[in-house]
Amino acid sequence: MTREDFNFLFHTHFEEVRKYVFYRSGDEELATDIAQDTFMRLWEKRDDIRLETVKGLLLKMATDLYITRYHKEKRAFNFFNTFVPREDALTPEDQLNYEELKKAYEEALKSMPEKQRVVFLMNRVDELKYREIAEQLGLSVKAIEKRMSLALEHLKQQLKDKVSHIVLLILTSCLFRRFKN
Amino acid sequence: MKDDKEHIKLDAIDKQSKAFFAGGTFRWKKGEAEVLAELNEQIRWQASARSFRLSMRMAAMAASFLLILALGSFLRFYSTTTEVSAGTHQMVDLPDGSTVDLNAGSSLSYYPYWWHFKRIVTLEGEAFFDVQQGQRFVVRSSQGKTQVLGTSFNILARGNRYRVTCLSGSVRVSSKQKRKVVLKPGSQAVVKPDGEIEVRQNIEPFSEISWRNDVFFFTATPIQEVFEEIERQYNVTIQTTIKEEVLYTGNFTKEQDVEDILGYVCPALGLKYSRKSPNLYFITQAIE
Repeated sequence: MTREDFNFLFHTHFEEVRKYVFYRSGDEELATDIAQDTFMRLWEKRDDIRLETVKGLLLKMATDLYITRYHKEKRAFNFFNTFVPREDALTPEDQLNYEELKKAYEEALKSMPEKQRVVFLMNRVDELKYREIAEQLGLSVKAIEKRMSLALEHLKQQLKDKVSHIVLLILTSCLFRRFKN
Repeated sequence: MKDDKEHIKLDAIDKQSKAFFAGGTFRWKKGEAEVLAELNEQIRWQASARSFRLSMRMAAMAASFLLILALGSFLRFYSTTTEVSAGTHQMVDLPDGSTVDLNAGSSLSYYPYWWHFKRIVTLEGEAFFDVQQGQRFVVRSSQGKTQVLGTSFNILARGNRYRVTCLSGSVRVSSKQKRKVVLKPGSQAVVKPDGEIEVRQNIEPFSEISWRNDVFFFTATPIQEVFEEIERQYNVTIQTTIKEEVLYTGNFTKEQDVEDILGYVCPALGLKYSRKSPNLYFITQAIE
């Protein structure tokens, strides 16, 4: 592996690795450090690396690094310090409650089991299909589906009051529509 | 209705979270470029550090190898040489307690630090060996080689003469031409210039080693050899014009003066000597 190859691999995969660790930990600094170390390790192991499997390998190395390090230093979960949602895609009401909603999601994500969180965020933020997530994490599509529905269930429990008015809104709009008709 | 409501709720959260997370932006404190720059730095540093460590290790290995080699060859090839000049005898003690009695005008060398691996000495001249029991003991000379285990024997290796006399134990003598004989006590091997070995049985061994007691026996010995022996024992120079084969039988002891000896060796063979300077004698045919 030449320096060029390495730089190419870095540009292709660094962001994914960093996001993956960030989804797991919710800690930006840790995510950056671990992603950096992952690539360092990739360079050290350059002699026995096959390009076809490099992505799965990167996530695996990152996981290993994360697990060994995370047990040493447990840090604060802080997702929205780094991630900025697009306000304009939200409903007007959600836009109004943007800050509140952010806080609620922060709490909900924080209390969500890590494995579900990773799957959930890969699907929501990166808009990856279940099949793609399954491939990258080396899991079955079934497992991804399961984690995803558990994640949504968890959010539903955590965001009870935050969705209630959305539900109301939907209900009223349904009623309106019916009324109109 | 409740199930329906639940379903709507889940559907709502699904929709909301999709809208909420999709297309968001990450504001990393540390940019990708910065991370890559750091990595490149780290990698370069690591690569050079690795090769440095490697070359240091190589150098250390090479150095210790050379040290061992130097030490080994020192131990192997460091040699001690004893040279005995004319007119004297000398006793040499070898590391294992074996002794070598060197006749005048002889030299003996051996490898003291290698002695425990191989008992090997090089002899030019004449010497009497008393060898301690042990591993093979080898005496090398330019004309032949004598190997023993533990025994006593006499070697004469002068010019092209090579003669080994066994006094006890057994001795193996080989010539450069790869002829070999084994000697038992009381026998003697004479290596001829062509490499053939003649074995003489029932030798009177004490006349062979009488030189140790300053007594010199000659039995049908060419007169040139007799004069050489006198030169060595008394540290004098004898010049002679005698060319023909004249054999001498007799003996002398060092207690006698050199002129006494010349005084009875020469007339017996029809020769006469004259003293040119304190250490130079001239020997010619006695004119009738």
